Order: sequence, then C-alpha cells, then structure tokens
Amino acid sequence: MKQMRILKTLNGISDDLIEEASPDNPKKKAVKPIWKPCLAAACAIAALTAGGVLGYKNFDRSEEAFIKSDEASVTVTAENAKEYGLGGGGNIATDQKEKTTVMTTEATRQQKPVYDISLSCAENEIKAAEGKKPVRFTAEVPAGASGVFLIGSEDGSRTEMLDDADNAVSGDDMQGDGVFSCMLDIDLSVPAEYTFCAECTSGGSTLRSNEVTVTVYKTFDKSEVSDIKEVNRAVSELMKSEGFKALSREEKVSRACELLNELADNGTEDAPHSLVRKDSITVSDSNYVITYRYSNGVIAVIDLSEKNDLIS
Amino acid sequence: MEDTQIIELYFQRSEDAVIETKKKYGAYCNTIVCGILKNTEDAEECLNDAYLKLWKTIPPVKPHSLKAYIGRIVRNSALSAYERIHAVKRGSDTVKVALDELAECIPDSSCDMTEELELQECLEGFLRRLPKTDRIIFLRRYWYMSPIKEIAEDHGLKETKVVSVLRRTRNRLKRYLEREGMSL
Repeated sequence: MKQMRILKTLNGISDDLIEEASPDNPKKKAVKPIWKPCLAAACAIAALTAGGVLGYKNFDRSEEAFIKSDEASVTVTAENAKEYGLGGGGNIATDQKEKTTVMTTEATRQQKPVYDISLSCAENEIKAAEGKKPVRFTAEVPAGASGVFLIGSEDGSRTEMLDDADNAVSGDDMQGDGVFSCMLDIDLSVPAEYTFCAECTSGGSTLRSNEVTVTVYKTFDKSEVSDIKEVNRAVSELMKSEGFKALSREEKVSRACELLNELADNGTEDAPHSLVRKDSITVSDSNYVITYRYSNGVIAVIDLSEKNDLIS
Repeated sequence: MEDTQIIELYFQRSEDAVIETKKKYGAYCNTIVCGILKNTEDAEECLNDAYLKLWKTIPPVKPHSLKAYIGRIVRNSALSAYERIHAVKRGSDTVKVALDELAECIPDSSCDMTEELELQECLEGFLRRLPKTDRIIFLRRYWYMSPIKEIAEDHGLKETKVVSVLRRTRNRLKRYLEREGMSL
C-alpha cells in the first residue's frame, strides 16, 4: 500500500525531528488572550474609582484584597510582552516609563518569563558536499541584553549576532524584536558535528544559552546503494533457499559466514568486487547473530537466532 | 540514567540495560505502540519484540540518540504487526484514518517504485522546510499516530485548527513530491 510506504519511509527521518515531535515533550500551553486581563483591569480600576468616589464597596473582602494586593498585578513591558501574546515585544498601552500595570489572574501570572537565551538554528543536519553553506542561527535574549555572540564549542570562535533586520547579511528578520541572528558558514566537505551556544551580557552578568549541534552527514552514493542491495540480495537468496532452511542453526551460521567471505573476496557476478569488509565479519556465539560491514563501512546484522530475517 | 550509561550496559551485556530502557522509555514506547495497535496483547508482544531487537543490535550499533533509535524500532515493529493483523481483520482505527489522509498527498503515477533512500531524503527535506509547529503536528499525526484531539490539547489549539494544518501540510507534501519527481 502506497500510504504505508510513506509511513514506513518516515521511520528513517533524522533523530532530531523524531525527538522534536515526541509526545512526552513539555506541553505547550494555550496563550490566553491579552484583552481579557486588560478588560478585567479596566473594570477593576473603574469600579475602584467609582467605589472611592461614591463611598461604596463594590467587592467583597477577598476580591478587594486580591485587587489591592501586589501579587495580583503584573507589569507588562517589552521584556515579557511576548508571554502575553503581544508578539514583537510591543506594549498594550504605555505611560512615560513605557510600563503599564495590568491586573491578571493567578494562572496567567504563574507563566514563567523567558529570561534565558534560547538558541536555535535553521538546519541541524546537513548533507556533506563541496564547500561551505551559510546556516542561520537565532537567539532570543532578554530585553536590554547586549553583546550577543555565537560561540563555537570546539574552537571557541565568536560570531556577533545582530538584531538589525539585515536579512541578507545577519539573517535577522525584524529589528528590535529581541531575536538576534547571524549567518555562519558551515564546512560541508567533511562529515562532522559542530556545537554552538550563545552568550550575552544582561544586567552586568553573562548569560549562556542551550547548546545547538549542526551535524554534517554523508549519504550513500548510487554505487554504495547498489553494493548494499547486492549484498542484501545475495544474503536473502541464501536464507530463502530450501537447502539453507534445512540446515541446523550452527550450519546456517557457518554457511552465512562462507557467503559473506565470498562476497568480501570476489563479490557477485553482477558486482565482481569486494562488497563486504572481510575483517568485520563476526559471530556472536551466544545468540547466533552475525555482524559485518558493507564496503562503505555501514554495519549490518544477520539474525539467525529465531527468525531468519535480515536487520540492517 | 543517562542514555550513554544505558548504552554502556548494553555493551556490557548487562540485563539491567533492558530494565533501565523500560524505566526511561517504557511510557514513550507504549505511546507509540498504542497509537498504532489498539489491542493490548499485540502491543505488549510488539514491545517485547522491540526490546529484544534492541538487545540484539546494541552492540554493534551505538545509537546517537537512544530515544529516536528505540522509537524507530518500536514504530517499525508496530507497523509490521499492524500490516500483519490488518491483512486478516479490517476495521476503522487511527492508522487506517491516517493512511486514508495520506492517500490524497501521494502523486498519481504509473512510474516504477522510487528508491527508498531518495524518498526518505525528499521527505526529510520537506519536513525541514516546514514551520516548526506544522512539522511537529505533522509528525505527531503520522509518526506517532496521535489522535487529532490529543495533538490539539498538547498544543493548545482547537481540533479544527489541527485538521486544517494537517490538510495544508498534506497538500504541500503532494506538491513537493510532484515537483521532486517522486512517484510511489
């Protein structure tokens, strides 16, 4: 079935994508609309004012205590505006100090402000190729932070990250949104892992971000795929043969090793060259598992313990 | 226990390896299997198969991410079990619905089967181009086989929004596969 093929092929996606979508990751809470606490605040202030003018108490004791309490209010500034769904760090209403106090519910107040740096990059895994590739890194920093740098964990290299909306150069989308960006050329010529973190100065102290790793990986070329298929075909053919099925388990192990050695020495009729690394063929005595490496170094396993299936 | 320590236990051929794996990733594996197989007996059998496969393949394999590695093994076993069971018994379930949804994004072509690796690379490229939320929702649905309701709850979205994101992503996937010359 075609759809099943898509589902099965999806199994081969990279580790980071699987982990990113894992159901046991922290759940994202629904962002409560900002107008609700605003409206509540406006009503409360109006009611208090009216209460003061007219000399009435419009609230019972607990409500009054809540409204008057410092705990019941939260200051919405550019620093934490995003948390309240304002986006872009803008304020709902500002006085001269660019601050406004808004009444909010206990639940909304408990949402933790994001004060740590959060570093991410556009591509965590890149296929190896000739030359270099510019990769965009973004870091969300607290408001007022300065000196934002991307630091290479291996070589300690420092690249300045900017919040200048100069997309072509720094990769930054919007100026003043607290998201700093930089473009870094990643060398694709050799498979490797590059780890980075971001650092900035805020309120006299230095903050560091989470680590982000960019992996440059190599994929098989057509001849490698063809060699792997040829080995798999030969192994499958052997294992499906009636003669092989009739053998005892020890004989099967011995026969499979013979075939692998033959593939290592001479290959097959269609691919008359070494298809398996001879020194890699090993047999586990305890559970009848043969491991070996294809000519390109990829490990494969023949499991003869229970079912004669091929795991690679 | 850290993944590296668990992997080390496998390399030492210590039976604690499986115990620690179950302790750390048991619930995660259970979520994957139960998303695909509704029958608890089938699910349990599938999980046992997966742990056995893990035991047999580590070593020599030393996974970079144990979570993703075991997730793949479990999902693969569960999908194979699903196919096996479904060949006999037909009915309406999450996987069948997910398969029906995916049918609409598969290009109609009479060409030969595309190379597995090319298709895999193509899907990977497609997923990486998606906005993060859309990608997570797509994978929650088609990798973890999570019900729409559960995805919506976890992301603080309405079910209709999740359905619409999935529809949009499937349409994008269809166009992407066609553009890349993929045929299935």
